[in-house]
Amino acid sequence: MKKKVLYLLLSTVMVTMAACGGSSSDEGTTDDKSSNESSLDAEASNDEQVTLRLALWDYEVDGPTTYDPIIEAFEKANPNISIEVVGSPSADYETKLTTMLSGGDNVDLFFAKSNTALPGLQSKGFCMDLTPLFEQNEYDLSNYGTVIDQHMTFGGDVYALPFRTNDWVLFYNKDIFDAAGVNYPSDDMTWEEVGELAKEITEKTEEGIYGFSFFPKTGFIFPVLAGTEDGFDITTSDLSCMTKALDWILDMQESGAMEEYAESVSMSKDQTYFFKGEWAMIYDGSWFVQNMNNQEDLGFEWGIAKSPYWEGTQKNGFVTSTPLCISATTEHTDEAYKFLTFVCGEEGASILAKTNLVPGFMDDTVLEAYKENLNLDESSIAALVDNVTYSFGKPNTVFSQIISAGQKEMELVLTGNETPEEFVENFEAQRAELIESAE
Amino acid sequence: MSKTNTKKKKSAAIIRRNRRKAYLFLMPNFIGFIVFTLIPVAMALFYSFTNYDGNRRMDFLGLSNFLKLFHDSSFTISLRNTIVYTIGTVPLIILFSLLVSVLMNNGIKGASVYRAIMLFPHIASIVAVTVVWQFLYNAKSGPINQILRSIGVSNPPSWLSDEKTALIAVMIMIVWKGIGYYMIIYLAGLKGIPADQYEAATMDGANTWEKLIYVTVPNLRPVTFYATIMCIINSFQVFTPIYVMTKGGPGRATSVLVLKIYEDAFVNYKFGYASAEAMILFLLILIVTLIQFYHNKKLEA
Repeated sequence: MKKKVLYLLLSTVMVTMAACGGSSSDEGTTDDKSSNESSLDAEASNDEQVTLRLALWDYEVDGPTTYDPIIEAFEKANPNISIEVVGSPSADYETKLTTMLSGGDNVDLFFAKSNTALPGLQSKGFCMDLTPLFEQNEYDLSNYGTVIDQHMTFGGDVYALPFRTNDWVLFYNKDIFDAAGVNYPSDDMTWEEVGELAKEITEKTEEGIYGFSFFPKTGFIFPVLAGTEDGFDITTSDLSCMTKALDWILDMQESGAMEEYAESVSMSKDQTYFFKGEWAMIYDGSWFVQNMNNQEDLGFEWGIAKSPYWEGTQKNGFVTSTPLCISATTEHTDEAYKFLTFVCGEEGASILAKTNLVPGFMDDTVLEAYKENLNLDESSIAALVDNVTYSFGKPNTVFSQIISAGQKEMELVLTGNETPEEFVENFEAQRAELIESAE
Repeated sequence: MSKTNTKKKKSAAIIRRNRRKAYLFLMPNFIGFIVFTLIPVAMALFYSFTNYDGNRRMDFLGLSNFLKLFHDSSFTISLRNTIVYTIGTVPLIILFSLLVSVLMNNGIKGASVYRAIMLFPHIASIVAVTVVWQFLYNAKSGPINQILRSIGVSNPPSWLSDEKTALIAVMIMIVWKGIGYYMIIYLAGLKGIPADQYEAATMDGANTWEKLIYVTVPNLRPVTFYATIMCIINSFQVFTPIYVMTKGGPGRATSVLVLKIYEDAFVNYKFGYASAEAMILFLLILIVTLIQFYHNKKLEA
């Protein structure tokens, strides 16, 4: 009997884990206050030692190559500040971040998983408004391109700086194209043309090689749907333009130029199939360059072409970014600001550029450093820079929920449960529901 | 007279002292229960009436979360899926585990080997098992569809990627995995049935089937009661196999309540709303369990 009651109660425990965290937050702050007081005393003697806690994902994997050099350089330049990394595996990061932030675990700075995750974090008040700090320090935001405006600005105020920006481009396996005697993809191609190319490749190569592929996860396919109309906004636009992209994907699956989504998913396929030489082309973000260059014994040559675009739209490619935020509850605003502008500023960018990732901060020196370390041919390098970009539209409080609903609905089309027309109807209904629930 | 009195006093003191010790031993358990279960549950109940977002906002909303729930298509779909899942799996698990345990108990040759085989799915990690089944269900190259094709089914279902079969596919796996545990419980129950009842039934000319229906099943009623309640509670709380196998997809075809609660709380930061959903789940389980208790009492009387 007692066990039964326990079981009943357990059903709610999951949600209430946050409650436990909440109660411990008070202790956390009092602790911190006392340490802050003592640090104020120390300030008089002018060797105040501050530890900043920084949350990020996959530190075990990317730490030595991507983060450590920047953190070390920062600590060297600011001997009184040390950085403590709070890591978690990529898949659990968002859950862990929410739990930490709402549980009062004193994180001073944190990366948002991507720009689509930022609106949710911002609307819950987890991110500090950086505009006053920028104004006070006369910080120059002109080196960050359009993503500051597209991804990080809410109600006229800036809440994050982009650590990385990722232009989405077309990666291709040169050896497969050579063997088939087909020309490489160019920087100026519509999706329709890419489709034809993929079919040609599939036809002219041995069985088991697909002409084109996405990373078989809805989040990697959905951006293509948003590119079907210039100035698309996922919250307000008419969604019927998306059928064009869905029809294209279905045609690719039917013709065998792309493996069926359901098949890829049930075999848990990922980008490693591009490494294995089973996919001739893959559409992915520019971070994939680093993955490619880290592969030993790849066994084939590869190149990059600019993002394809839809017939009748401007030649735009999708862009995502990785925002770095200061926690709204930090006790060390000045130090955190120093770190933020270091990591996302010129110093951090010139270090990051050497690791084949595209820094959010970009000027001629950084660009040169980035290009120099790419180890790619001229046309591939050209494909990675000077891109005109689009995203999902203006962020708002239900932004990521709308995108997530669209991705789930799209999955039904990809698995043959729904037609593109039904997708538009159902997605529009769900979007209306979400917008209504937010009001 | 005075002698017995002091004796009484002495034993009362011993009882008191022992009782104190008993409470002391129980205390760690109670503290754990209060800190990790009671307080969180009370907080969840409180949050369910607010729009708590994990950080800033916490306005009292009254019942508005609960009213919103039933206009939320994702919630109603998850609720429906959870109920379908429970109705679909619980009777099958109970029925199969009863039959299997009766067979095992009848002195089949190599019963212990079969018992181990049946128990194995229960011992194996749910995540590992789910991943294996995901491969089994593969529409093109999966063994299940290959077998179906070889016996002449020209158009076998695509299981996990078809909206209509995805939930059924998960349910089949769970029935297979669930039988072992309840079989063991039934086996224990079967050992407790007095042999003379079977002898008497044999004297009365009952055949094997009649013995099962009129002797075994009624004697097992308390066990069945326990097994059914546990099984229902487990099904209402299903999360891991769904999360690993389909993440609720395709679309929302296999979304269940706990998955929806998880997503609302930890992906959408709607702790208040998620708590309201958890309360609905709690109520559902409570109602079903109370009905069974009532029913069981009536049968016992």
